[in-house]
Amino acid sequence: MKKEKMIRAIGKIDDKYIEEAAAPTATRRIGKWIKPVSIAACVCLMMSAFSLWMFLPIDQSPPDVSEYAGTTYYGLIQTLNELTHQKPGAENNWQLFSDAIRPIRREPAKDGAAVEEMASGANGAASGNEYHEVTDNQVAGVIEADIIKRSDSHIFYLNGDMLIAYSIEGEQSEKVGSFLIESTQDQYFYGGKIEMYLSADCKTLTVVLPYSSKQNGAMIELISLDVSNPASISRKDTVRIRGSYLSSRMVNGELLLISNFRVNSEPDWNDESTFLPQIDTGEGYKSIPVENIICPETPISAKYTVICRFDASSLDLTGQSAYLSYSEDVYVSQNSVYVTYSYTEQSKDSEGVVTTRSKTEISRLFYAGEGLEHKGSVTVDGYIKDQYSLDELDGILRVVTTTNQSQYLERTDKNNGSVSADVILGAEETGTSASIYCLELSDMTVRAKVENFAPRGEIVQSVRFDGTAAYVCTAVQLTDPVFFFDLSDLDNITYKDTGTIEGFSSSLINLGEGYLLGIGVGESRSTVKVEIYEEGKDGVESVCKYEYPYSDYSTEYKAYFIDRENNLFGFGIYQSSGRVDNGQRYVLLHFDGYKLNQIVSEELGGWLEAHRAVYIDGYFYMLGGEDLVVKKIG
Amino acid sequence: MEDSRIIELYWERDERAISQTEKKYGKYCHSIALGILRNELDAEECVNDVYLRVWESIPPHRPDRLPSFIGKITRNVSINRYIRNRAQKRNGFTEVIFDEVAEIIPDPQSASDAMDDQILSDAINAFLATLPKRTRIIFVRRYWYMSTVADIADTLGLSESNVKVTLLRTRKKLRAYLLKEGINV
Repeated sequence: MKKEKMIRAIGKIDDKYIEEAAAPTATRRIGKWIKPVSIAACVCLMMSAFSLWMFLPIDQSPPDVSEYAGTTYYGLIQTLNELTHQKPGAENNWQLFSDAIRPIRREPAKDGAAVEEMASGANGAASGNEYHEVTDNQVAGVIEADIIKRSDSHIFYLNGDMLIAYSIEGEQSEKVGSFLIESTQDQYFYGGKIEMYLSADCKTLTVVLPYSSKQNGAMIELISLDVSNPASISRKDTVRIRGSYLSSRMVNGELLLISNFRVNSEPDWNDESTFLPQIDTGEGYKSIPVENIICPETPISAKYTVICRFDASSLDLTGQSAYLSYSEDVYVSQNSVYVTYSYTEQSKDSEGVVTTRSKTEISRLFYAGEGLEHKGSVTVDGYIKDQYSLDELDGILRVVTTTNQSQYLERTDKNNGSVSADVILGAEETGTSASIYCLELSDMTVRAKVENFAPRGEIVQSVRFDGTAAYVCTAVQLTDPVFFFDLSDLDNITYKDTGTIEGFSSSLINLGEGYLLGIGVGESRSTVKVEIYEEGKDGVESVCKYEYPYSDYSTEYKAYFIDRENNLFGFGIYQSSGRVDNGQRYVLLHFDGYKLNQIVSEELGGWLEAHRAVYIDGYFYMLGGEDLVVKKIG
Repeated sequence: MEDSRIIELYWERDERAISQTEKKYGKYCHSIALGILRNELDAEECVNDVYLRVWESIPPHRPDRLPSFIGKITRNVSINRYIRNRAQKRNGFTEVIFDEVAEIIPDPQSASDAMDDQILSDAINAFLATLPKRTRIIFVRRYWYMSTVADIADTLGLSESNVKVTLLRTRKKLRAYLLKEGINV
């Protein structure tokens, strides 16, 4: 009854919230049986004609595109025509007649949103001119975007779509300026995760604004802002790219933007915007040149991975390429972009045993030269957790995957043709485990591997590479071993582990000197655990841990404050237990070599994944939502 | 036809009001009903009930926003139908949403007097005003529109796990908010 009361109470919310969340409805009612063609007086003749018509084969081939022969993109149009063609699903009209159900289609939401008013800020000094890195980048020299950046004198923080500039003055720090990040061209329905880069001279912020708009669908805007005077931030340039934002990096003063562009399900070959990635640098949308589009030998998806290169200070487009393949996770090294996608492979033997396996294809796109060069692809077993599951070192790409195999026996009922499946339990090779692959980059082949090293049923929770070492945490439910791999000799890969430990780490951070930090959950899912491991002679041991019961935390890696030099580790937690609500806090721990000690615990607003912190000259600055909290910690 | 004109037809007791409502909002109502009942026949019957309820409600009401007015009626009719059906056949999907909502209730075992419905709704409205827009949209789409996590993720361009985590945290925050306001359900 109480549940129903709550449901009804939610039903009475303000109309404005209901309309705000509305999406165009395009539900198609489940089709009814198609009425058969009526039969004339001469039944036999009409029955014959009817039978002939019913069993005439339906054309399965894609539409004819020969009219576009001779156009610049004709080869690509032919490829995309095959990929986007949706077969009728029936071989003849009899099957079509028998097909009772048509799928319910949903259109993407394209409602507009009101544009918010801009905020103003107080006076403040000009921005300092020394850049300080505050993001724990995966690869040295390859800068990742984040919602926090800083100079000598100011911290820039993105609270959703509001950029805030704070002065760095210890406990006298204050907000000095702000700027609303928005598209000036589109009325957009939703803004995705907004993040930014600060130039080396600290005078320009480049913001990546992904969004969906009514007119243009998924879009990305690159917006450069003049922050030389943080009290008076102004917009400089804007570049627009069609597609959905995947990732970006700043390398050697150049911004690499990686996105996905999906070809329309029914492309209009006369309208390039429906089947080609396009960029607007201020002179209208222009399609990527055909010579910059790389097609794999066997394309399987009408979706591009697009990589654009921009001069970081001027946003001049210096290069653009597209790879006709779907991408999920992306890893960027100092010279290559690795794009991945996972799928399930299925095979069936003569006895009807069907085996399914997860697979991941990894493609290497070399960007260090001019343009973009496809250096090959390789497929490994399993699927990848995130960008930290890959690492390039000395011509070798190391990859950790969760492998997943299942088997079932397929049976067909001879009476009605229905198919059922009996899962085969207890088969030795079924279930999940973890594998590590070392790929030779010169020819994209597997150079070495250790497969299924984790106990059956475990999945990869976190991975970290450190030179020739790899650390992998796997878990099933609430226990984890942490594996330490020595990859210095690929012909003799060795590893050791901690054995079973309560809880698991969703993030692993190498601290150097054989120490590893794990942040994750403890013996119950409502306990947040921070644990330090040490690599010993015979195994890996837990040195110490610190737990927060009845708590929740964010698995966003960039939300963690990691200071290896001072052994300081910070992050946000939300703690509540029954009627006791300690609310949301930011905590800072110090490792003294023996144990972890909490030295800061402060209330902080905003969302946990958007918490950030910086340690400057004895002061610890914590940012979340509209809060800036500063504590002197000496 | 403009909403204001449709409302006038209701006030004039002109039955064209119903056909115009069906033409303009039929799919909208159907999608809400189908989202809750997950059954085509039940959804169609509910939508027919909705037209009757709207006919009986206008007058005396003269709604400022006709789509929200009709949407709320549709939701209520569908939920009533769902609760009635629950005894015979459980709709696993909607039951999951009911169970999620149960997490928000501050003290489900409490025997103390429950708050008036309007006070509870006002509190929920106040809470929604504090949320970032994206979070609010996710919450409303799940618990008002009864959308699936997959639909919400697809509509907003998010991953399903992102949506699930957002919903979990928002439920916890709402629960904490109601506790702090001293509101019992």
